Amino acid sequence: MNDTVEGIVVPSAETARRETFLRLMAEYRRPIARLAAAYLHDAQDQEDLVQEIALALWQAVPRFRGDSSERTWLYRIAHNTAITAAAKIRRRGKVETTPEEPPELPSAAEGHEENLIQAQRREWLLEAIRQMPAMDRQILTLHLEGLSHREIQEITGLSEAAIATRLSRQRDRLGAKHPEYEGNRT
Amino acid sequence: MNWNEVEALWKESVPKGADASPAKLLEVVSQRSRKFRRQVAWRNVREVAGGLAVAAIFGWFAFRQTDAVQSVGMGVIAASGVWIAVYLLKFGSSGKPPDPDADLSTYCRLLSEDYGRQVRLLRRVKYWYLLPPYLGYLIVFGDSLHRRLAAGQSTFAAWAGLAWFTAVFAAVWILNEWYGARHIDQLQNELRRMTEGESA
Repeated sequence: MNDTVEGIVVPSAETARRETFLRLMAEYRRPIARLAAAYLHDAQDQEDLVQEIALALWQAVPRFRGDSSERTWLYRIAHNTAITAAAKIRRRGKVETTPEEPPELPSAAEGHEENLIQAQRREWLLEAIRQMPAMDRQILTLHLEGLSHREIQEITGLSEAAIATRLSRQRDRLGAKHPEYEGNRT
Repeated sequence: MNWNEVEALWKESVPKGADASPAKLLEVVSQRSRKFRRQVAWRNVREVAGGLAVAAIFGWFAFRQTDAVQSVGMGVIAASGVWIAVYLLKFGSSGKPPDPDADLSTYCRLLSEDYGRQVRLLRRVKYWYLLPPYLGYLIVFGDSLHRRLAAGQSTFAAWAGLAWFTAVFAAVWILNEWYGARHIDQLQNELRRMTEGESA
């Protein structure tokens, strides 16, 4: 329901909250789902985590005052919710269902269908990210979502230099785990 | 494979939940939010009502009691009811989880502190929740035992009552300190393990 102030119809706080939430979800549901997949292996757990993050955002929307950009605010909430949920699920022992090492990566030369290879490569990447420490995982996923070092700094609280160092280390680690990976940006 | 391909692989990922409709998510979170608010409100009502009911019942018994020692014992139990309700409202349910709008290091520190607060609350259950009414009961029990012995009556019922009361209190103690606190300890350890070596 809308309110009327001096003859002008303005959205009520609840309407504005709903509209903001719907817009955020429309814009960020895929990044949020990818973030959930970077924390949890099980598809159902990932879906539950997406809902947890959505709930945290719904509760946080009225508190958003624009002190930081909407994007960095959203990712902070999403990652912090994810880490809490992941700790709970890992405590229940669900982590034991995930493999110790990223799955074997088939090479194109083996003659598999291209889309199957891509799917397995994606799963390999996700598994490699899931095994990283929380901060490294957060930095890498934010970087892969296209956030700048400054934005990552706002979210993590680390300095830009520390972020650059960690990203470089993660690239090396990915390379060490993946025979096809060349490491440097081309 | 190079870094550009890694970035492309990431962006191509469409995990479960990625295509959830925003309207459907809004419906789900609205329901969960309402349910959560109801649960918190109901828990608060239950805690206060439980404490006040104990206070009212034992306060009435204390008021009606002609024996001074029995009256003191029941008065202690009644006061415990009020004390527990106030303590729970002040330190229990009112404990707010940390705001997720903080950077990872700060959030993890706040979360860890919140877990620590919950563990301390559970580990102190024996002092703030169990000890006050138990002391009141011991006063009532001691007086009953003394009177029965003086009258040459069987003390079996008094001892059975004490055993039952002690067993119930022991169960509450074990559930809170052993099961509840261990559960949160494990959460705290898991969080520590996930963020090991992290600092800004």
